[in-house]
Amino acid sequence: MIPGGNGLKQRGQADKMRKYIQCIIAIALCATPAGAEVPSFDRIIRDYNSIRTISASVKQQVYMPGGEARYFSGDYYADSSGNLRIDYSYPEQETVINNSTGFYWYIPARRTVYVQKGRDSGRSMLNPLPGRIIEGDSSKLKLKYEGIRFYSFFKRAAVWSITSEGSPLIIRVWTDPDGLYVIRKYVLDANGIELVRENYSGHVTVGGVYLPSRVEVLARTPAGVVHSHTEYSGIAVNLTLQRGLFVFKKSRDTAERPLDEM
Amino acid sequence: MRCRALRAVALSAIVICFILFTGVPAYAGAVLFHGKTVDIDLSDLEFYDGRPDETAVRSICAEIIRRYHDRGYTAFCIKRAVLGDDGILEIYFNESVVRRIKVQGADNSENRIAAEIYTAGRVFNEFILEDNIEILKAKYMLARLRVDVARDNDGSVILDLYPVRASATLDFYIAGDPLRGLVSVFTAGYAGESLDSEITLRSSLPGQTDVAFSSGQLRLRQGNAVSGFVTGAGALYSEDSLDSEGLMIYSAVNAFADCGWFFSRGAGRLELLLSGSFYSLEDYPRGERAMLFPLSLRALYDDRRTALDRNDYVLAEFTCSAGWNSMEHSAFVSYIFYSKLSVPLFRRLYGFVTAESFFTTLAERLFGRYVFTGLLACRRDDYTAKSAVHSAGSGFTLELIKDHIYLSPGVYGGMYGGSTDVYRSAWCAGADILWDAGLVAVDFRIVREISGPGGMIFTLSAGGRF
Repeated sequence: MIPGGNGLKQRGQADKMRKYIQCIIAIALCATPAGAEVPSFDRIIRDYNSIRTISASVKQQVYMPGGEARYFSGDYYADSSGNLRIDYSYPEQETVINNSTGFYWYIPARRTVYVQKGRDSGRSMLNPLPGRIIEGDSSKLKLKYEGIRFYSFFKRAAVWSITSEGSPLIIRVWTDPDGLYVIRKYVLDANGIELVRENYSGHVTVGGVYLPSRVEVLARTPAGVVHSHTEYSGIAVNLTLQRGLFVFKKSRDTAERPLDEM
Repeated sequence: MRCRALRAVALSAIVICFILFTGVPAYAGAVLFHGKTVDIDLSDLEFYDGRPDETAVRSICAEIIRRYHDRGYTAFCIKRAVLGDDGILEIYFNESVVRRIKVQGADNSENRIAAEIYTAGRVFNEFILEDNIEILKAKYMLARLRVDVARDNDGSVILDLYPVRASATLDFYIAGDPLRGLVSVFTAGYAGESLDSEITLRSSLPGQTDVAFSSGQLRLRQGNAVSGFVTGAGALYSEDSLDSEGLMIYSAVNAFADCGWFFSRGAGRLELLLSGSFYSLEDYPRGERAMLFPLSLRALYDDRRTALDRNDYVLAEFTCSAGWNSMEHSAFVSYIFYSKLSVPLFRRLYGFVTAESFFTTLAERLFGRYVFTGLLACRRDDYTAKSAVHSAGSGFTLELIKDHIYLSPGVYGGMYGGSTDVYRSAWCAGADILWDAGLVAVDFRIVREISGPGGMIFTLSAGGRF
């Protein structure tokens, strides 16, 4: 036995421990971004505000609470005023229009248009610009940065919450850490229960703006959770759209019914 | 709803008083709005050209009302409009704030629905109200939520709510367990206005293995509240093994009761419970009776109740108890922990991590836990029980058919021992196939032990909510 061997051993262990702690500190410092600045949300708002019109081809799968699945495909047009038009070609020819006068779903085979009058009446069903979070006057909204969190295979997202006076709802938005595009959006009630969840993926750059090419939406309804997947292809922004595209012209032989009866 | 009636009242309630002085030359005039708080753009109406007559003033008022009503402020009306001799037109608004919200048949101060349907003191907006009705119907599982809108004497708005709750739930499932065979679980719940109650019955189906149990439990909890009292009582009859082979069987009757306080917020829930538990034993070497008096803290985080994506959730449950044990004449501490975390990785591919842990300072086998159940359910008829069992696992979930069929392969490992034992470990791998048909779900599990003598274990579980 070496005299003082225990002391040497303990000192060796202490040195090892010190090196270990130094390594940990070094790794932690490397992992922390210099300055650790709060990401910005401005770029996303600015980008979306630069979009005057958007058009794309869409493929949509909707999973109803009872297990029924529906498939749709067609052409989609929207503008910055919130007007929207989808010309479905599958499973049958149908036209959906949302404008300042109301929401119209026209089914030529039935010679019927299902209508809900009033501005924004279709906004809950269709988001005119995929991935757009803030519409209209953003000065009344309170934006709060909640930090970075991991998701999927150790990817990072910056998390924001948006609230507005008079509304109990909270909108939680996940963006990429550089603040270029939106990854997820949640609409929560005051108790944190998710009412709507939107997942955005497959982002493409069109006209300098990051837009999602895949949007997954889960929405809580009285009948259960409605789940939909929408894929956008051939996305074009700021094209001049035909005048009157967002106006529904009702012909004489078309019957008008409330949307609830659809 | 009486919103249409309100709109008619609002329109008919326009009182226009204006004084026109004749002989005043034509000029460009200003319009002043009194009582305007809502963010509606009226800037283009702030000036007018020429000298307005009664028709022009009426048309300005009608345009203001139209803009308010189009934005959902359907109780808005104009109290009066006055045209001064200085050419200034003054218009006095009644934007109609919501003064009172009353839920019929409930204590208004404690009713969360009243607080969430609309903020008292804010301007009434029909669109917001309609949105909130749909939100609350979905959230509180209301069959109906009727809202009567009425105007008070001072022009403010009163909301009377008539909620009809979906009050009863019934859950039934059969769980496969390699030690006890098939175990049936039946839960009936009733959510009242002020009290929630739940009865749970569990029983292993008879004649399957050497060990068996049957239990019944009633729990009561203050309803419609974020915090309040919770209490429960129940009984358990079990036949358990004194050795790991199941050669010596003892039976136990356990009666228990607890009461305490809970606090819940969002997906989180905290309970502090004072409990009493009495055991009557037969063929148990240490004695015929045992009593435990623990104070327990139970923390639960389960965001499956709040989240929409069923494969993106965090579940964690931790119960820690400390008290007195009459059989060993000593104080004790024990805890049970279970957690599962599932995260989306790629389209239709999810990753999960799960862990469970049990520990008690009690040395008697009666208070221990079978090792090869739960995450380490990889041996049949191995009744090894220990006072410390820790296990964890990880794997993937693949969504084979959207919202219906899921395949979840995973690897699980664990350690078990006691205060005097050497810790041993066990590893197993397996897969779950879950078929979710909405009301009914069926889960088939295959597990094989990697580390020891265990063979292939198959278990089948099925259940649903009716």
